[in-house]
Amino acid sequence: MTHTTTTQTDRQAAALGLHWTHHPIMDMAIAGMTVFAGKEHPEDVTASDISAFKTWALQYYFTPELTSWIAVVFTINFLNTTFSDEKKRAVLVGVIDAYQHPNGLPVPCAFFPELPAQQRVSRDLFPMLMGRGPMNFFPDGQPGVPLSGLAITALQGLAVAAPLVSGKAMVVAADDERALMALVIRWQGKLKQRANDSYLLSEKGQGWTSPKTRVIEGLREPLRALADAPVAQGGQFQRLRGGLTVHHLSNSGQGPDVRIFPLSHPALAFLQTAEQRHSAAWNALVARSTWAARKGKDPVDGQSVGIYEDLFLLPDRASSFLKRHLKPPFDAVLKPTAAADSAAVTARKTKGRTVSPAPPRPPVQLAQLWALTSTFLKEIVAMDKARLEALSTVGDELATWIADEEDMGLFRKLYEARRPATLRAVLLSASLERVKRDLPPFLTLERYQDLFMEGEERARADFYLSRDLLKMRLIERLHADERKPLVRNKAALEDIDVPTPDLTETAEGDE
Amino acid sequence: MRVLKVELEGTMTSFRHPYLLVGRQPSFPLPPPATLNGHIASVLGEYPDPASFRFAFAFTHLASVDDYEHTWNIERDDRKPRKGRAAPNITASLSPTLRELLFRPRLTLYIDTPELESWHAAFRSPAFPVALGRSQDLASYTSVQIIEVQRAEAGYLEHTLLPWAFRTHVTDGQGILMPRHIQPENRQQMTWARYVALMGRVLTPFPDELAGGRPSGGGSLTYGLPEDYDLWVDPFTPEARGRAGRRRALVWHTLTGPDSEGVRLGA
Repeated sequence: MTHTTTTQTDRQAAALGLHWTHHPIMDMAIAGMTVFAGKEHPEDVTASDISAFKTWALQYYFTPELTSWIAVVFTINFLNTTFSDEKKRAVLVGVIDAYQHPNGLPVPCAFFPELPAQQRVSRDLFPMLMGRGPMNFFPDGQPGVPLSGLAITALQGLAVAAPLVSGKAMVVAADDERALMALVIRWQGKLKQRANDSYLLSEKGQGWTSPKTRVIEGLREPLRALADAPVAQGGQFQRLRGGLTVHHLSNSGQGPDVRIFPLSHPALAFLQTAEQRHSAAWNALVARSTWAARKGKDPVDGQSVGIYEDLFLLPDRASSFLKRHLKPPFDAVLKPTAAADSAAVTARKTKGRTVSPAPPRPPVQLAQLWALTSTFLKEIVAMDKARLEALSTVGDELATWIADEEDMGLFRKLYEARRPATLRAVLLSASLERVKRDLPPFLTLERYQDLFMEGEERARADFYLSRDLLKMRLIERLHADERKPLVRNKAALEDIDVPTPDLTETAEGDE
Repeated sequence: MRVLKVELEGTMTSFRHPYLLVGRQPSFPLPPPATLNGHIASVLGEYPDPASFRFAFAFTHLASVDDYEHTWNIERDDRKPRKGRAAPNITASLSPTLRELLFRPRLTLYIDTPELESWHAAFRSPAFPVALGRSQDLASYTSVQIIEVQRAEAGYLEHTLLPWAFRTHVTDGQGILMPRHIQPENRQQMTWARYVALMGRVLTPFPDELAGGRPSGGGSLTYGLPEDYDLWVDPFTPEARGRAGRRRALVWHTLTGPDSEGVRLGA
C-alpha cells in the first residue's frame, strides 16, 4: 500500500485559482465551493473538488428542492423545463466544467481579472443581471458581464451556500471572511440534508422564514467556538472584524427583488461577547424573547426570534432594545405576572403567526444580566466607563438607603418616574432627606447634570436610557440584598406601575 | 493647505449597485468614487486626469424611498428588413423597475488639486447641467469656495467613505464594495475598492485619550487612526460636543493611488 503526501507545491499546482473577490454574490458562491471541498481557503480548492461537486449536483440539482431553488437564483432558463433530462444534465455539466474551457474573449473576467473572460453572462448564470438581450446598464451597449470559466463554475457554489428564506436567497457579505465561512458551514450542512431528503421523498422541504433570525442563529455557535481558538494578537479572544450585510434576493422571473440588511460591528461584537462571556444571561434573554412561526413552515428554521431580529436595529435603537429585552427581567422581580401578561399580549397581537413554544426558560440571575447590560452599554452605546460607574454608584446608594430605611415610597417614586422633571424632583427630594441627616446627597448638581442633562436646561438625548439603567441597577441591588426588602414589602408594591413591553413589533419608537 | 470646497443640494439621487439590475435597484448609501469622478468631469467638460486630484466628502440625505422608474430595455433588433423599409436597428420594451431613491441629498465635496483656480472657476460655471446620480437628478451648488484646511490633533469623521485600512480602527460603518474608477476611454476597464461607509459620526481621539491603543474617553472614538493618516480638518464646520477642538476631519481618496482600498477587479 502506498501513501501519497500532498505537499504545499502539489496543492498550489492543483488549485484552480479561486480567491475572495469581495463581491457579495461571488464570494457567497466561493464560500459554498470552499466549504463543500472541506477547505478553509478558496485558494485550496482543486479540480477534484469541483469534480466531487459535479457528482453531487448531478444527483441533486433535479430534486424538487433544488429545482425550486434554481428558479429563484438562476431563473428557470438555467435548466429549462422544456429540455429533456439528458439535455438538462448536459447543460449542468457544461456550466460546472466551464473552468476547463478556453477563455476566448478579449476582455478580462469581471471577478478574476487575471483571467480573460469566456463569455458575457446574463441572469441565468449570474443572479440579478438582466436577460440576454437588453444592453441597458452595461458599458458600450454590450449586454452581459464578462466572466471567465472559473467564475461561471464558482457561481454554482451558491447551491450549497445560499438557502432560500421566505422565498429569497440569502447572500451575505462579511467584512471578516471567517463570519461568512461560519455561516456557510452551518447552512451547507442543512442544505445538503434537505437535498438528500428531497431526493429520497421526491418533495420539497418545509420553507425557512425570517432572514435576520437565520443569520443570528447561524452565527451563535461559531461565535462561541471562536473563544476556544488561539488568542488573537493583543486580544483576549478573537474578535471578528467589522460587520456583515445580508442581501436577501430573488432573481426569479416571477418577482425579482433585493433587500439589504446590515448587521453592524457593534451588534456583532455584542453578540460575540454575550455568547462567550455571558452565555447564561444571554440564553435566558433569548428564551424570554418572542418565538413565532408561520403555519406549514419548517419547525426550526421557520421560527422568528424577536431579540435576534432586533440586533439588526443596533446601535441606532439601543434605548428601545434595552427597554424591550434587557429591562423586563428586572421589572419581573416586582411583578412576576407582568412577563406572563406580556406573553399573552404577544399571542393576541402576533398576526398571521403562531406563537411557538420557546425553549425552556432558564432562571435569570440579575447580577449576570447586569453584567450583560454593561457589555451592551460598552459595545453598543459606547458609554463612557466613568459614566456607567457613576450611574451604578447612585443606584447602589439609593438601594442601600431604601433597604436601610425600608423606604418603599421612595422606591415607588423612583420606579414610576418617567419624565426628566419627575425624576429630578424625586432625586432632589431624596437628597434633601439625606442632607437633613448630615449625610451627603445621592447626587450633586454636577453629577446629575453629567448623567442626565445636556447643558443646564435640556435633558440628554439618552435620558431615557440613563433613567432605565438607574432603575435596573436599583432593582438588581435590592434583589440581591440579604434583607430582601422587595419581598418583605411586596404588599406595598402590589399596584406599582410596571410597564408591559410590547414584543410584537421590532424595537422602533423610542420615547 | 488650500482646497476647493463645494456644497451641493438636490431633491433626489440614487447610486445604483452595478450588478443588481432586476426587480429592485437599491442605492449605495454614499456616492461611489467613480460617481464623484463623473460629476467632476461634467463640471470640467472633460474627464480629468485621475491622478491629478484627490477628494474628500460628506454626504447626507433626509430619507430613502422606493419608486418605480420606467426603464426602456433596449435590445438589438436582428429581424430582417421589410421591403421598402429601413433595416431595424434596435427594439425597446418598457419595464417598470423599483429604484431606491435618496431624498434631499446634501454633498460637501473637497478637492485638492494643483489646478485649484481653474477648477474653482469651472464649478462656478459648470460645463454641463449640475446633476448627482442619475442624469435626471438635477442639483445645485449653494457654495463654491477655496478654503484653508488645517492640521489638527483630533476631529470627527462623518457621512463619508473610509479606506479599507480604517476597518480595524473604527467600529462603526458598513463594509462595502464600490466602483472606484471607470476608464473613460475603455469603460470595460473598471476598478473597484472596498470601503467602510460611515453613515454617522465618530470622533477621532486626541493623543492623550489613547491608552494602550484603546480609547479611554468614551463616545464613538476610533481605535486610533491608521499610521499614515494625515489629519486635516475643515475649520468652518461645527465643533463636536464635548472636548473642544474637534471639527470635521477630511478623509482623502484618490482614483489611482496606491491606497489601501485598491482592489483589482475588472468591468
